[in-house]
Parts: sequence; C-alpha cells; structure tokens
Amino acid sequence: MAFVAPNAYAQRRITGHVVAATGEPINAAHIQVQGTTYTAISSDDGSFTTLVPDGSQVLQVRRIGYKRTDFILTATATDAKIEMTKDVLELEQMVVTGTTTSVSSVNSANAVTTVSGAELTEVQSPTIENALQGKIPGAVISTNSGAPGGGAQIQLRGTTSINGSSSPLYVVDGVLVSNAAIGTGLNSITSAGGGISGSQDQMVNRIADINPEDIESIDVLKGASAGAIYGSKASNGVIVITTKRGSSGKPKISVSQSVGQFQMSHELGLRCFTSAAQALNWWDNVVGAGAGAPLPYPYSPVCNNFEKQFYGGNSPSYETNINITGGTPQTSYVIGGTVHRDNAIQLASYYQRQSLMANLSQLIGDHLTVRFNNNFVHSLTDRGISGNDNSPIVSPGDIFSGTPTWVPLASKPYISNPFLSDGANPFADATQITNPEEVFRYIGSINATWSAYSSQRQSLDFTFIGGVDSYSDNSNLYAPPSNFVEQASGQPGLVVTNRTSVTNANLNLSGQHKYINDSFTATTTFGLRQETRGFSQILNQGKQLPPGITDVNFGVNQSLTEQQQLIHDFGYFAQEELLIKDRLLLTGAINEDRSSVNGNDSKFYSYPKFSASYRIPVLPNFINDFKVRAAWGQAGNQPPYGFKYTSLPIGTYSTQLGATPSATAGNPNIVPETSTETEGGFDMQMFHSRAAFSVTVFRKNITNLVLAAALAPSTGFTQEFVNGGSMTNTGVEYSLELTPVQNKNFSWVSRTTFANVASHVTALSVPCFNGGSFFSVQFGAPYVCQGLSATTVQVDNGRNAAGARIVQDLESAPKYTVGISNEFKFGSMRVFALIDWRQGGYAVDLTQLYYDPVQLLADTAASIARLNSFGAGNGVYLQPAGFVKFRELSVSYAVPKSFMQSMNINSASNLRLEVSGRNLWTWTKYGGYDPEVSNFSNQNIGRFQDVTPYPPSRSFFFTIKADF
Amino acid sequence: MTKRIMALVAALALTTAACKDATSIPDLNNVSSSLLATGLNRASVQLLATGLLNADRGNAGETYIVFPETMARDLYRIDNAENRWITQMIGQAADPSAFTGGSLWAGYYVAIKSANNIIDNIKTATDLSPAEQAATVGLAQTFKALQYWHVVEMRDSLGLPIAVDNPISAPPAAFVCKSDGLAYISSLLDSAYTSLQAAGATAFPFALPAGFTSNGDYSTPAAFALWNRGIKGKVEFYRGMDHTHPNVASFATSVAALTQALGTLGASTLTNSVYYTYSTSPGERESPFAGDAAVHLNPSAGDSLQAGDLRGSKILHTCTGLCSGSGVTTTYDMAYAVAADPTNLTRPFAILKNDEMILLRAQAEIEAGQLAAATADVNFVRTNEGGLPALATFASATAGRAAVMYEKRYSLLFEGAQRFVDLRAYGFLNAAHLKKETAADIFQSTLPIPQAEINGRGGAQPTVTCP
Repeated sequence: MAFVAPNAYAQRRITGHVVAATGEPINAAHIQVQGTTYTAISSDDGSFTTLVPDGSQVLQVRRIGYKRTDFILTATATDAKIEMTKDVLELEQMVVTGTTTSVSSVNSANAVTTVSGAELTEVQSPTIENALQGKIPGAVISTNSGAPGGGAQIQLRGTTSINGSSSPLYVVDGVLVSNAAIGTGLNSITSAGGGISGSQDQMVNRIADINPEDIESIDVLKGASAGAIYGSKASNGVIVITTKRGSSGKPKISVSQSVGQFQMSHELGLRCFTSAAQALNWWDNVVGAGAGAPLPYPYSPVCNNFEKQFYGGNSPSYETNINITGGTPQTSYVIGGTVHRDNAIQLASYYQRQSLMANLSQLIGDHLTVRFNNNFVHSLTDRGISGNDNSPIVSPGDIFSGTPTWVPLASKPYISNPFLSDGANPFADATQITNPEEVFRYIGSINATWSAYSSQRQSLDFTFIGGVDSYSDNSNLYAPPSNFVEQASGQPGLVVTNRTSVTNANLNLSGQHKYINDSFTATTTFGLRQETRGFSQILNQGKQLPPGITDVNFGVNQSLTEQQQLIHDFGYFAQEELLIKDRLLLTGAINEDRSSVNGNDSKFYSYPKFSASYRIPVLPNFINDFKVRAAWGQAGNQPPYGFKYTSLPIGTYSTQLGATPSATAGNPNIVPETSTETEGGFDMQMFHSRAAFSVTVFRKNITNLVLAAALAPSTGFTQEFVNGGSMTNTGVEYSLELTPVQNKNFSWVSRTTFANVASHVTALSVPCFNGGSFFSVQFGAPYVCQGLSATTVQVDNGRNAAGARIVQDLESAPKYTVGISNEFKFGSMRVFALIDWRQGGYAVDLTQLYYDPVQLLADTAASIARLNSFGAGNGVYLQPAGFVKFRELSVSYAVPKSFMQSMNINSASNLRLEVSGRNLWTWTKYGGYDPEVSNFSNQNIGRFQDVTPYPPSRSFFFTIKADF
Repeated sequence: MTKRIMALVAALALTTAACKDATSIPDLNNVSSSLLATGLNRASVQLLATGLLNADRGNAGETYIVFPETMARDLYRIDNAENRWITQMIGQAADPSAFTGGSLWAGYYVAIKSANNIIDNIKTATDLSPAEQAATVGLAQTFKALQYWHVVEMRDSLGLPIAVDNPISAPPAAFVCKSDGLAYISSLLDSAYTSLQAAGATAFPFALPAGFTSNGDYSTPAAFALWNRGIKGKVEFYRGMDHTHPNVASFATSVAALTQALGTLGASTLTNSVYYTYSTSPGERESPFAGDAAVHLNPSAGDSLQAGDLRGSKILHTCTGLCSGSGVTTTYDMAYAVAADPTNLTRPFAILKNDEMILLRAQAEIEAGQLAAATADVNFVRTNEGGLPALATFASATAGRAAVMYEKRYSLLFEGAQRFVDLRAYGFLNAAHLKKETAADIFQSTLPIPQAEINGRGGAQPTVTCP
C-alpha cells in the first residue's frame, strides 16, 4: 500500500444529467472522473455534480441495466448530458470480490454469476432456492421434500466435501447468516431414525427465510478462487446477497398481488381392482395371506385415487408485496413488506411468511456514511408427515403402498386402516396431527464508512460492519390420543416441543485505500473479522397425554434432549487490486483465520488468492470486447462442530446415569479441509454487444478431506473423524447470450448455459467405504473410493456364474446441466421461459420398491418384472435421474397508459398483468415422483435416495404489478 | 496524515487485542473421554459401570429378539413397507450392508470397549479397595463375555474377532474360529468368577439397576458369581455341540457349572435371573416391543402348543392389525408384543433364567448320555411352568432333544436367541424339521459378517479355520 503525497491540482465543479435513449432520466448512475477518485451518483432527475480536474476529462458512467458509457468532457465544458443505452444482456454488472470491494464484470477475473432481483422473481416461487433453479451454471439444487416452505440445498461446482459442511456460505449485506436445518421432532412419529428428532425430519434449510422480493442481487462465488477472502468457510462457494437499497427522490411505491395454485406434477398411478375375486386373489396369493383367508376389509367396486384425494391441493395461494423507496441526497430509504401464503398439495400442509425490510442510508457530514439494513421475517409452516418411516407405518406414501384403493380412507368419519398394523390413515393424520413450525428471524447490520482521506488521486476509507442474524425456530408436534396410530402405540397422545435459537454475530473492520492515476487504479483493502455462531435446541417429548391436552407437562412418559453449539472464529485479510488502463486487472489477497472447531484452535490457517484478467485491445471488427482471465485461490471448510471431541454419551438406566463410549471417535488434531481452485476462461462480446460468449474451465483440488472413516466395528468404533483424502472436481461452464432480434416492436433475448463437473477421489487414507446415510447397496448406496467420483453410487447388479453378487459403481451426479432461457417482448407483451435440463445421473427409487411387492401400482406387470429382476440380484431400483424441466414460464402484459387513463387509474405509472407457472412439465425416465427429491439431501453425498417423499408440485400464479 | 496514522494504530491495536482472545470451547453436549485419562474414582466407576450395563441392555433390543425368533419360527414381523424383516430372515440371506445382516454386531463391540475401559483403568480408582476393584472387574468381565457370546449366537461358524482391546490406530483384530471363540469366552467367565470370588463379602462399589434384585438377588459379588456360572454352563454346552471341533469335556463342565449356579431347584425361583428393566421416565429406555404393532406369533408356535400348557397364556388366539404380508400369514399374537398393552412398555426381559439353566443342564445331560437326570430336569420345568404331566424317562437322546426343545420354546418364547441357537446346534434348521416359510426360505443359520466389518478389513470376507 503506497501513499502518495497529494498534489494541489487545479479543478472545477461541473453539473450533468444522465438520461436514457428515450430521454427519461436515469437515477443511481455512478459517475467517475477517469483517473481520479472523484465520483458522483445521479439523483432521481438524473442530475449530478462533481469536481473535475482542469482540462479535458473522461467521465465513466455505470448503471445496472445500462452499458457503461465513457463521456468526453471538453476542457471548457461545465455541463454534461450523458446518454446511456440499455444493456439487454446485462454484460455490465458490479460483482463482489471481497467484503467491501467489487469490480465491474467487464474486468472480473472470476466467472461470478450474478442473479438480479428481477431474474429471481421472474416467476412466483415458494422460497429463494426454488427461484435460483436453472439460473446458476454449475449449481445443482436438490430438495429433501416437495413440502412447502423450503428444504433445498445448493451445491456449487460439484461435491466439495464428504463429511464437512455441505452448504455454501450465505452472506446477506455483510452478515454471515445461518443456513441451519432444524429437526422438529417428526422422528417421534415416523421412527425414520433414532431419537426424538433426526435428520429425516423433512427439515427446512433456513436460508428459505430470505424473501426473494427483498433482494437486489445475488453474486455466486463458486469456489475458492473467487471466495478465498471468506477463508475457512468458502470452500463450498459463497452466495452474497445484497438487499435492495433506497434511491433518492420522491417516494416510489411498487405493489404486486399474486394469486395461484399448486398441483401435483406427477402421479404414480394406483391400481384399481375390478372384482371381488381379483381382490381376494391379491390378498391370499400376492400379499400371502394364504388360501381362503378373508379380506380384512370387504371389497367394493369403488376405486379411490388416493393420490388425487390426498395431494389434490385446491386451496388458493397468494403473495402481496409492497415496496417504497425514496429520499434526499443525504438520506435514502427502502421499505418493503411481503405476505406470502402457499397452500400446498398435501392435505392440510401450508407455508406462510411475512417479512418486513427497512434499509436506510444516511450521509452524516461529508465523510461518514451509515447504512442500516433490517430484515424481519416471520414464517409459519406445517409440512405434514412424509418421507421415510419405520414403525409405525405413518408416511402417506408408505401407507398408500400397502392399502388397496377400494378402502375409503378419505371418507369421514375416518376409518382405521385395516391393512396396517397401526391402522394409520393419512387423511385422519393430516387433519389430526399438527406440526406448526414458527420462525421469527431478524437479520440486521450497521455498515459505517468513514472517508478518512480523499484527494483527487487518493482515498482512504474505513468500513465497520456489525451484523447479527438471530432467530428462534419453535415447533409443536401434536398427535391426539384419539388418532389411530397413537391408539396402537400403547401410549396414546404425543407432543414434541422444539425450542431452538440460533444467533450469528459478526464484526468486520476494514480499510480501503485507493490510488488512482491516468494509467492505473490500485485498491488496497485490509481488515479483520470476528464471528460467533451459537445454536441451542431443546426438544421435549411427552407421550400418553390426556385428551385435549397439548402440554408436554401432562405426558405420562416424558423425555428431553438438548443440543448446543458455540463457535468462535477470528481472521485477518488483505487484498491488493491493480487495474491498469482499464484492461489489465491483477488481484492478490490473503486471508488468515482460526476457529474453535479446529483441533488446534489457536492456529491460523492461510488462504491466498491471485487473479488476472486482460481485455485484449486489438480485435476483429465483429468482437467488441474480449477478456481472458485466470484465477487461483484457496479456501477452507471447517470441521463440523464437535468433530474434535471423543465423547462418552450419557444414558439413564434404572435412575443411574451411565456413560458408554461413543462408537464415533473424534479427532483432537482435526484441521479444516483445503480447497485449491484454479479457474480460467474468456468472455467475449460480439456484434455490438448483441452476443456474448463465455467459457470457464476450473479445477478444484480438495485436500485434508474430513472423513468419517468407517472402521471395522469390531474395534469398538464404527467411525473415526480423520483428515484423510483428497479429491478433484474439474469442469467447464459455457454461457451464450444472444439478442437475435432487437427493435422497437419486438425483441428476443436468449441465454443458454452449460456446465459439467467431473469428480475424482484422488487419495484416501482409509479403506473405501459406503458413506453418509443410505438404505442398502442392494438399492444403491453412496460409495467413496480412490479413483471413483465422490458422488459414486454403488449397487448390487446381477450375479456372476458362481452366484456371487456383482457390485457396480455408477454416477449419481448429472453428467452436465443446461439452462435455457428466452425472453420475448412484442409491444406490451413479454414472455419468459426457462428450461432446466439435467443429463445423466442415477437415483434410488425406493418409492417403487415400496409398491412393487404388493402390486398396488396400476402397472402390475411392470411391478412384477421389477421385483423379479430385483430378486435375481439386479439393481432395478437405481434408476436414471436425468430430466428436462419446463421450470418457469411467465407471460406479462403492460397495460397501456391510454387504457389506464380511460379507466381513471392515473396515479399508477406502470401496471402489468402477468400469468406465470413453475415446474410446468418434466420429461424423465425416472419412475418415482421426482428425481430432484432425496430423503438425504442435507448430506454431501447420497443425495439420490427417494423414499415416499412429499411429491413435488407445479404452480400457476396470476399477478398484478403496479408502480406509483 | 495524522488521522491516517491514528486509524492504522487503532486497527492494529484492535487486531492484537482480538488475537489474544481465546477461541477454545469445550464439548458442550457430552461427558468427555478425558475422564479415562485423568484416572477413575468411585463416581466415575459408577458412571462407567452403569454405562456398560446400559450398553448391554441396548444390545438386547428389538432386533435381538425379532431376528433369531423369526428364524426360529416363533415370530413374524409383518411390515409391508419394510418386508426385509421377513424376506431376509426366512427368505433369502440377510443383506450384510443393510440393517438386517449388518445388525447385532457393532453394539457388542462398543459394550466390550465399555467393559475394557473399566477393566484397564480400574487400578487408577484409588478410592476403591482392592476387593471393590475385583468385584468391579468380575462384573465387567462377565458382561464382556456375554457380548462375545451374543456374537457367536448370531454369527456361529463365521468366527469372530477376540483380541480387540487395542488403540484405535491398530489394525482390526484377527478373526478366530468359533471353537477358539467359545474357549476364550469360557476362560473369560472363569477369570470373572475368580475376580468375583476375590471380592469376598465386599459389596459392588456402585449401585446396580433394579433388574439385579427384581427376581432373585444378584446384587452381591457372591450371588452374581453363581449367575456367572450359569453363563459358563451355557457356553460350555454349546462348546460341546460345536460341530467342527466339539469339546467332549464340555458337557460335564456344563452340568457342573449349571449345578453350581442352580443349587437346589425351586419351583418358585424358575424365573429368577438378572433382568433388563425398562422405564418410561425421562432418559430411560422402553422395552424392546414397546409400541410395535407389527410383531405377531408364527402360527407354528401357536399350533404346536400342547393342550393344558399354562405357558399358553402368553399366546393370543386372535391376531390384531396386519397379520398377512411378505408371503406369510398368522392368526396368533403374543402377549409380550401387543403394542396397545401398556405393560409391554416396561416389560422386563431376563438375560438367563433358572428355567433356562435347568433345561440347558438337561441338554448337556442328554449329550452325556445321562437320560434319567435329563428327564428329571425337563420334567421340573414342564410340570412347574407348563402344568403338564411329567414325561417318562427318555428312550433316546433324540427323544430327549425333542422334549427339551418343546419346553425351551414355551418357557423362553420371545425372550432371545435360545431356540434359534438350539435349532442350529441340533441340525434342525432344514426342511426335514421345519416348514419352509416362504418360497425363497433358505433356512438361514447365521447372519452374515457385516459389510462394514469386511470393508474395514480391506474388503475381503474373513476366513477362519481352527487348527
């Protein structure tokens, strides 16, 4: 960092206006006098004033949605009228490179995907992860359920860990926010796993609380080369969310109202029985009751389509948004509010969210800018029961797989299911068993920037960011004693209260020095960062409740568990960015951090990065801009909380406490995983920026993999946490953006992205193992082995001549993913369509396995064939999981001003009507409900196991949007 | 310039201050294993002893009863969504990578480690007297031996690792063959017995669960030592029955050990044993069949009951819930496994009752040719528990085996792996003796070595041969 003594340059003040080609003023444009630190922001009427040095100068003007404009200001001019043209392909965006730094995408050395708020809210979506599907090349988004309210997981550029955190780091306005998935105690009913609550509780990843409508933009840093500055949390990539900022001027109000509906997107098709003889034959011979055994429930010629009856949905869903922004040159604000309600397809399941945001920016004096970002969310959801279960049979899909369709399960008064030991009737359960999960969440930050020093050539700013993400997640699972399943349990009546609180707090102090001259800009940032992450959950379970009582105190049989986590992190960083002649950008940075979760909690681990990009000056005529870029960086993935400890878990036996050795051995020397990423590529703009083509190749090398190394259980340990392995992910990402037609009446913008990732486990210090949670190698289980991909699925498939099982290794991850979007505008009409295509990969379809032995699917011949093949040792339940989804479609119409005037709606400046749909159609060979759903998608590997999930749905919405 | 320097100094000061800030955080959720490294005391011995007994109780969970009792044709667990409870027990071979073939293995070795933690570290508990230490070791060794025995019950001739008390970094212990395993278990029980004897009249230095005094009193080292002899007698009988390497001396040893354990036979003490007890209090464990409505009686157990047998009170002649599926069907239930009966939530389960010891002694006597003594033992249980007329002296060992199998079936119904182990030992697990339950029924005689164990050894199925 070099300080250069300021010289006393002669300078003058000029005023200017920024306007669009149509003559309308453009606000919030960023004007910089080239080669100086002088900048200005245009106000609501497009005007600005700035100091400029004497002589002829170049004003660089940037604005999201417009192409960068260089305006030549003559030596004598005191006024500038600057016209900007629309950037249809959005080739000019500011992308983040660090906590306080950003760079124009024209110069960026990384392939950072930026998704604007408008792209995000193109089509009404339940939660933010759904809104990102198909929009980030290199991201695979899977869901653990089709239930409303979230539960989706994003993986960037492949699996980067086996046992470490699987989630990218989410940063909202500088606050490192929690994406925890919290169990609500559903396991107390389903027994899918052990204990009161477990990872199969159909959990929501809490990033779902973020309201897509509040978002200005999302920058996706896909790996270490872009995210190194986030140190030991950035290995899985970083998703930087910037919420809306206020713009000065008169208050502007935008409102929108959507109404729509969810529909089951794919039915399995249940069997109808055509005669009493057929039903009896089924019972006696297929189920195996034996010759002459009577049916447990008399046959009737009615065929109940349980899928339609139970997943029929029908209630409308809605969303209301309001957004107000305005301010003065010193103060700007934006206030937003959303009310969202999804009445989803499964009987009695719903999701609702109310959110309020208020962001305020205040200039205090000449040197201090303070921004307050406040986001308050309340969400309430009841996702019902679905997914895996054991005893009792209580998951609706599981029940339907064992109940013939002549049984009137849906009819009231509900009957005890005669085909199940516990009598579970999902229609009764859906109305009687409730599990409301309620989240109150506040995400807020103060961002204060002090311009300590500023001259024509130099500036020094200090930024303080203090942020907090704090929420409570409370749920009350209640099953009344009158419920059939409860009656059969021996302890009728169940309540589980979940009380969880999560608090993340971070402080960030950084300095930024800029030196600008005619040939280069040098930006130096340095700072330190401190984070605390706390998690505490108490689950109380009460069984055998009196009727009408929902208080855990009154359970005859009570139990309680508590889970706590506390993590302290601390780090430093420094970064130097050198932009030479606006063509060559060189960046070097280092981050050093330590964490209480590491074996050695006082040791600092280093994460450096270097990158370079160069815009080639001499180009053929048809190419406007050609940039080559390369980046290298390292980031880490902290060992999960508690991996350093070997514990003696406590149990109670006959009123005494007993400590039994854990079957899992901790590791006091555990270190973070290290991801080293090299990325290179080029970005090309052609035909007057009517076309843009980018290619990125990357290679991630992850070492010190934290593994739950399986041990021979005879050692007394089933697994041990070790740093023992490495893997590489290599891949290519292409994107092609085109404006084939662009005229006054018709425009067509087309975007296609392609991405692939090949994973390869290059070293493993432990024997190959079936990792993560899985059901059986006979169905398909995750398998980690040197030489194979980390996302390998191992399956028994056939037998050799000696009769031994043949074990086959296949790939669960897609071979490549393609996103194709097209936008057409003709006159006042706009049509947007997004196709999401995932080629290749396999998934385990246990849903079919549930149905096949009892032949209750309509296609009984197929069931019999599959089951016979499975019986012969073939892995028929591991099925191709590729798909093409018609992900989003929206058709909107801008109501002409003349019509609005004739209807006396003069107050609105814009009025749009829109019809939109999500997940409209899926083409796939997969036999289950949906290949994107996995019972275990909260883990890194094994995100391919489908067990009678809550079926995913399609949705349709009608929306009115108005600006005032 | 001054401002800039001030700001930098402030930043540096903050950095330095933060750097000194400690980041260390202890395990917030569990007792740390550092407990062992820092030395034991009376309180931690209590914690570890209860932990061992709790681990042992956990191993005697639902699968421990359902799997062998299904293979022994006493039980069906009918669950159409999870038909492997049937298809991999009385159908095809259990899958070594699934919960069927992979179960009933790791838990035994965790409990063995739990016992070894006590045995290896007891000397550090300087606030315990040598006699108290000996009592503790005797109990730990007995339960350790019991774990190895359960491994043999489930894996039989596939062998088992024995020398597992090693650091985590050591390679897995070698598999030994069944007969070496049984010899080791037998000697471990002797060693436990010696330790318990060494304790003399000293009490155990920790509180024992209620099941040590609920039916009979096993709460002193001396009384517990006698029960230890019962286990010894059981293990010795099956050493004698080991097909490949029968130990001829074992039948006599078995009779002697069981006689020592039993003393004078009493009609009122037939169900005496150390019991696993259960509770619905916070943190406690519920009984193995609690809340499971899918478990029913195999009709062969219902049909074979002799008229007037008092033990028939356990058998219900109606089946509730789903009584057909996965190719089997029944019309019976078993009182211990009726989910809606709240007494089943906390029904205690015996580990080794006097009636079983008497019948084991009869089995050893039959193999030793002492048919009169065997008949007397069988009749003792038959008349007292079954209320049935006494049998005449067995005409042959074959007749004796059939008689003892009947008594064992109904005295020990739904209590563990006894019948499964006997069917195997007598060579009865085949179509000549039993009904083929499903079309695919292979008369499975052991669970496989779990895939996790094979993988942890480099992927090869361990082969064992006895010298």
